[in-house]
Amino acid sequence: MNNLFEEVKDIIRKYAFDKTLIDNATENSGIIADFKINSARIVDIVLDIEEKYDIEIDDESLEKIITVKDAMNIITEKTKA
Amino acid sequence: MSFIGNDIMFFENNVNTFSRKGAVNHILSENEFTDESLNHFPIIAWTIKESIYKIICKDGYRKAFAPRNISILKFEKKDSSNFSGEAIFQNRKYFFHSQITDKLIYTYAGDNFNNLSEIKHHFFYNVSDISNKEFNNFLEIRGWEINHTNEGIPYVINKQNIIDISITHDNNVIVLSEYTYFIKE
Repeated sequence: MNNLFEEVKDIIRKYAFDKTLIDNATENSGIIADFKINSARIVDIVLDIEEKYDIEIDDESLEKIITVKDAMNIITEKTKA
Repeated sequence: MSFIGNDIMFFENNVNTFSRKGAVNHILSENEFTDESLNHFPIIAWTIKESIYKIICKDGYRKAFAPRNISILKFEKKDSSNFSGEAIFQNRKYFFHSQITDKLIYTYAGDNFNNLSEIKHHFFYNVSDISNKEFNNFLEIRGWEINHTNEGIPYVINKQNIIDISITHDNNVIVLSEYTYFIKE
């Protein structure tokens, strides 16, 4: 789980203006609310996750992704399927 | 209460993202309206849906932004630079207006068509983020205190008037839109 947390942070870090916000992130950090990421970068983050884990994130899953932990849960759910 | 939303996007900052394989599939549904004659239509659609997402969050919606949950129903060209139309979310209609240049798209939306023309827009240039002094002076003069929903959508607490605001930021430009719908006696 710790590795997945670091992997998700690494994906998000690419698109963050202030990298220190990612360095200090917790699993409950809000991807838009706490990292000050431009909302359009969510598209990049979702596509990077889909490519890295070879999964598809449908709309029902996408609307659940508010925090880092939400992203991790979706990845875990989709990779188990 | 009547809410508004806005979104600005510079094409140079975003064209790579929206050209990625699979990007459009997250933004537009299969049978949804699209205008292939317009360059950057997915970016235009994003600003429309993001503007409306800001409205629904202030109205109590607590989920993340999934663009395909908002559908563009009508999209009309007023002229080469101005578009307007309607979109729907959970059987409720929203109205938008978009202004486009060769560099950017700016969209604003409301839940009441008649309110759109009464929305005021304040542009701040060479601004890296909302901690900017000029931007904060603007808020202070008006006595506005900005709070955020859990999804990061700003709203204002104002002691004198009943207003709603929306803030958008890209490429060192901030736009704050305001709609005053009730003035306290």
